[in-house]
Amino acid sequence: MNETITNLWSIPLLIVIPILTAIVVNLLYNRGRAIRAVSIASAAVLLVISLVSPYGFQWFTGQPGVTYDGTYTFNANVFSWKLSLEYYYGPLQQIMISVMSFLLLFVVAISTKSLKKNFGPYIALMFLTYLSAAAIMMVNDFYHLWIAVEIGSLLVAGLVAASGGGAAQKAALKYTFFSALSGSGLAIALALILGITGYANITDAINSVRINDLSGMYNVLYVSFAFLMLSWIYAGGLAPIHPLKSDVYRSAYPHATVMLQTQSKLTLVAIGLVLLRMFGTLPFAREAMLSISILTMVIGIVMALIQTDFRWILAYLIVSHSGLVTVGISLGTFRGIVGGLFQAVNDVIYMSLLLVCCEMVLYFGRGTSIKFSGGLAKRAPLLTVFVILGTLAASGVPPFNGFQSELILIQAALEQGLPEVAAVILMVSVSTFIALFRAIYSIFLRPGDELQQGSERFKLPGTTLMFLVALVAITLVLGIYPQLALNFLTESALKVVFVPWVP
Amino acid sequence: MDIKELKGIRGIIAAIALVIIFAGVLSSFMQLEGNVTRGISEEYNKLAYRVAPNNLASWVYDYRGFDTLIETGVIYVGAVVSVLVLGRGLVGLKGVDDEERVVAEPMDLKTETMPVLLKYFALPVVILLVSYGLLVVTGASTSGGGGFQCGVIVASAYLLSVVIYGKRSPFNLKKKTLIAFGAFGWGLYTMLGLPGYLTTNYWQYNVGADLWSWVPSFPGSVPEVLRTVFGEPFKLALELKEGVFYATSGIIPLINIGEAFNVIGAICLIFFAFIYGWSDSEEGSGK
Amino acid sequence: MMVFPAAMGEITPTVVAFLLGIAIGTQFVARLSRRTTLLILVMSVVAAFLFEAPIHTWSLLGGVLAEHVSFALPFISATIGLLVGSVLRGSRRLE
Repeated sequence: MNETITNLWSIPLLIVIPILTAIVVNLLYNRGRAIRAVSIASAAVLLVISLVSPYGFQWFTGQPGVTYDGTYTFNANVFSWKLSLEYYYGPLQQIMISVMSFLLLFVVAISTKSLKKNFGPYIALMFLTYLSAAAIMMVNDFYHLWIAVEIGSLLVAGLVAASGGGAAQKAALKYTFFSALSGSGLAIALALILGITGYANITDAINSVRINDLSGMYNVLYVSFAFLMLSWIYAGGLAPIHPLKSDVYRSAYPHATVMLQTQSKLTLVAIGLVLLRMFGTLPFAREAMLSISILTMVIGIVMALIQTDFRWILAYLIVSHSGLVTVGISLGTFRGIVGGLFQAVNDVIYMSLLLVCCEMVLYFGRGTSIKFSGGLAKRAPLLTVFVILGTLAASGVPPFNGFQSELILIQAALEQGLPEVAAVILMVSVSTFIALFRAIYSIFLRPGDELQQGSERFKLPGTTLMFLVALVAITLVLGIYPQLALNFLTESALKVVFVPWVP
Repeated sequence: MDIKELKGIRGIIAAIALVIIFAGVLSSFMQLEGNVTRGISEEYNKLAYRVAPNNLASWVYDYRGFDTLIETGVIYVGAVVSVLVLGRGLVGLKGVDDEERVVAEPMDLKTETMPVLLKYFALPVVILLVSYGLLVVTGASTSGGGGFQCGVIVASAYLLSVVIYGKRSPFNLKKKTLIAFGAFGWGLYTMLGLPGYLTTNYWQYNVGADLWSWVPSFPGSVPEVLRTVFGEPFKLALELKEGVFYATSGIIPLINIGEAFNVIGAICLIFFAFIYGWSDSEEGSGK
Repeated sequence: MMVFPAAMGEITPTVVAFLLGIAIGTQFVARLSRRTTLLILVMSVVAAFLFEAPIHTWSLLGGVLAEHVSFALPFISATIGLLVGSVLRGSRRLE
């Protein structure tokens, strides 16, 4: 909480390395080997940087803060209005970005092996997706948040369209069209906030609201809250626009969906925390957020239950579990926020596990529809084990990580006197199990027809196997020893609740 | 969405939502009238004389320079994605049968009926337009222009050339050149952050102008040689009513050159893909 | 009238425009007739006069002859750069 350093070395690297990698792999275009080498190396470097980096601020372009008496300071602990664009790298950022770097590393390793040709631009988009999510996570500035969300939604469309099919392109187009709304919503919110406070920096804006008398300006605050929430809904794929986002998750290749869902979870967390910090004290603000979250959970899970395709089921489950994340955040209490953040970390991990399994099903099986019986268990027993472990983690069964975060969420809801919310959370985790198990039963377990007749076993590729083992290990470790992750999250939650102006 | 879908209950809901949004935004703008807080912009104005002669350039490329880097990225990504939709870099999984690919056909451009007069005058106009673009980019720190504008002007020159002369246009940008332009532009902008980063750990610190080393709490220091290399070439004598100041915009003009190349590459690439279509086997333009 | 610039910033844009002109000029494939070349040069001088020298330039090398009589030298040098560039590369006569 008392990092004074304003020129932290790691933050620019986390942004610039993805940019340069994207430029290089886009130029390499069809030289598969070179792309693989460059992208794996830079993803590994990103992982290392995010793990070893200390905490602190980066005031980009090295402009100082202006103190009360008009002097300039470069010390983050001195109260000042910032001239520069501010990024903050703290424990929350560290765990989120490390997890994302880890996923990026394996996603890049898997996709450069399994894609056909000319995948330079595709990998470039992957790295830029990382960049946008990292920027959204670290930034402490409304204006930059807008730009990061904007570039992020463009990248989502790109990653989806790259898979080339007509359905994917349609989904991408629809998503671009509607996410333009999200961007402009944020822009209007930004304009209004800038109008009443005069500061684009989030900390400065909150301070300005605290210092100046804004009575009679509530209208402006509410409208900007509404627009910011609109962009939260669009960027994260919450309730009223869940069909668009799940369409996107389904149409992209599963390995790309790993990055897409990570990006949207991080966006949900980041914008959600900004909403709480800036507008948490407004009457009805948290209630509005909470009702959207509950709606998302319920609709998502119901839609997942009626799907007949493994990819669709996963897509709707991702949406539904986004609701779990935001329920925690919108409860607004210390425990609620910790639960929401922890759920985001867990969710990203077990969903990635399931998505990678889904990609393997695409290879081995005839498709991901659950109308036909696959009987894959006989020919790919290892994959079956992984997919079942992933299901258990996703449905909150101990000793996996999903259990821990859902437990915290339920406790937080009960503490707030909202047993209904706790019941919905329980329902989601039970229904997750049902939805997933329906798919797993028919694809893997039910005795199949022609697929079963082959005798040789499907072999999991080495990288994929490594990825799956690592993911299962993480879910288990976090499930048995949740403190490992919670240590990173408690500080941020405390800050949001008690000193919201501190990033 | 079909317009027919907007009839009935959906349309009514949409209309009500629009009215609510409109009322909300309008009322909050009315409430803001006369109550706008100046905030940080006052501080920016106070510092105006010390950096670029043009205040706007120093806002966009210095105080918020990193913002603009990511915005440049939006344009770059926009081009990559647009062209990707038309066929550059569509991917498929090995061993998985997938659907038919969407392939963009080249545009059917007929220029035979163009009057000779137009053909005669178009080339000088194209050349002068490009010169104008370059004038705009070199005046980035002193005028209202800059990299974005230069890029758009040059792209319009390219479009004009293609419209008048058809596919065998004299302003013959090849697709590899365009992709290289975009990459060079964004790469140059990104890498111009490096000198500041290496000396002060602040990314994109304007080493040429070196505004802040005198502040006691400023970490790091800028070596004289960097200050000269990036600062001297763009130093100007500003005669203001407060006196004569020698100020330099430092890396801002260089950043604008990167920006210009990025925008030329991106926008021309989109034009290119629509006009020539996209096929990975042939070069396309002007052969 | 000042001949030499008070600061380097007055002539750097001219040089930069010339170099960028060559870079983009190499992308032109058209051999221009002498008359067209002359036309372009004259037009560029006229345009440069209309645009006037950039603000904060004071010297002849920066393009200032007198107050209100000045030339945007970057424009002229960019045009020359473009012509030089297209000569370096140009091979095809315009149909």
